[in-house]
Amino acid sequence: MLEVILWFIGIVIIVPVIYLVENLILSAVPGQNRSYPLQPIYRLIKHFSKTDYHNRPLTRWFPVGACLFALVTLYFVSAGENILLVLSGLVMMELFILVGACSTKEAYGIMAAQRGISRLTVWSFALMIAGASLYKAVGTLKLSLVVQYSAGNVLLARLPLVATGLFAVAMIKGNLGYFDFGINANTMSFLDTALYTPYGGRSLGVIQLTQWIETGIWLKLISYFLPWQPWISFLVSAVFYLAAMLLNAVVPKMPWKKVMMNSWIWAGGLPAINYIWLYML
Amino acid sequence: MSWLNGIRAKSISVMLINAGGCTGCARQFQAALLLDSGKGITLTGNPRHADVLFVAGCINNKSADYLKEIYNKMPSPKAVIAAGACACEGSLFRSEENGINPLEKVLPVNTYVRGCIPEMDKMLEAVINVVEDGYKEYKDGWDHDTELER
Repeated sequence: MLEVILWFIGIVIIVPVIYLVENLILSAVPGQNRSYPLQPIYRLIKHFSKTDYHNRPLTRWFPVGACLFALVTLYFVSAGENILLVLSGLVMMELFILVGACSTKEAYGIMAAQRGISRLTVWSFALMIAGASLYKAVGTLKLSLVVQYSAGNVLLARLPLVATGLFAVAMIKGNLGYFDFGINANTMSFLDTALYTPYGGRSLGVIQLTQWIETGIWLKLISYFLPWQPWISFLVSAVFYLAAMLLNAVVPKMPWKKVMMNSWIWAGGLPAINYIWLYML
Repeated sequence: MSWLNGIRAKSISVMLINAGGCTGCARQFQAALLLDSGKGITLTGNPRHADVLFVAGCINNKSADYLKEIYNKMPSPKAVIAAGACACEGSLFRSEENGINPLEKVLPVNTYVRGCIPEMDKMLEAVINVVEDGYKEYKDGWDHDTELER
């Protein structure tokens, strides 16, 4: 139990540190905005200090529900529970965010929800295929047993494309690089109807926390495929994620339909190929 | 609470709107963000994420409606800055008969940055000061929590 609690707290601490390091590095790069070392934390405090105006009062509670499900899922993944429990928790978390976006009854909220649903189909498919491949390779869906298997055998050698697919999912969920489903506009023009995320103020602060917790969940899931000690594997996956975040600053944004195609190829296609390959072997 | 305003001033999201004109003020502000004195200020295209609405250019009746919509979507506390001669008083265009307004007739303005084009440092100073001072309102009778009618 102590180990589970340590993992839980460790992941909650390490993920904001990744964001702080990213901010620190980008701030030192010429041509990028200057920022304070603790700016992501300042931003979070600022969001919590703002009001939470919505035309529908219930909207502000959906991010809270999502955050609770993210915490429960983080416990599941720290304790090495069944991967189907992790999938269920993540789906519930996403549904809370999507319903919250829909409940604003505003055009941009509904559009955000539509894109969220298309994203949900991709990553839930990838996680289901990953679960099936794990069962085929290891004979169990329980992550704590996968760790034992991974220590004695190189799981990554049997499921390389599944691990790559899950990393693509982590990028999809972080809106990074060619997997950015975000609808935040950077344009100065306002001549079209605004199409923006529906969350602001405290709700946005809760969503930010939820996203950090969720990033930790995906990094921990990816680390199960790596052959080293669990802490080292987690740190390696965190370093890879940090590299993806840094690359995000120099990668141009794409139209979301192309993002969708990329996501299906990398997050949906690669694990499926690995699954078929396992059957053929 | 001064400590909270200090933290807010270290992470300011600015929504930059160019409402018309030569776009010089908006471009000047974008360039200013690369200076060290603009530390902690980021541009956002999302009114839900914005703390400060930075308006440059001349405002007509059509753009006034959009400005009000964007302003209403910003969570409180929030501030509005009028930058450049056009947004502050209509400048060259004020005698035109096509509904050119100074920004203060459309939105509650906290601070004015005058000049054509205003200096970079003055723009950044205005943004940081308005947040550090706790979003104090410039004009009596305005309330940032009230939704404006389009």
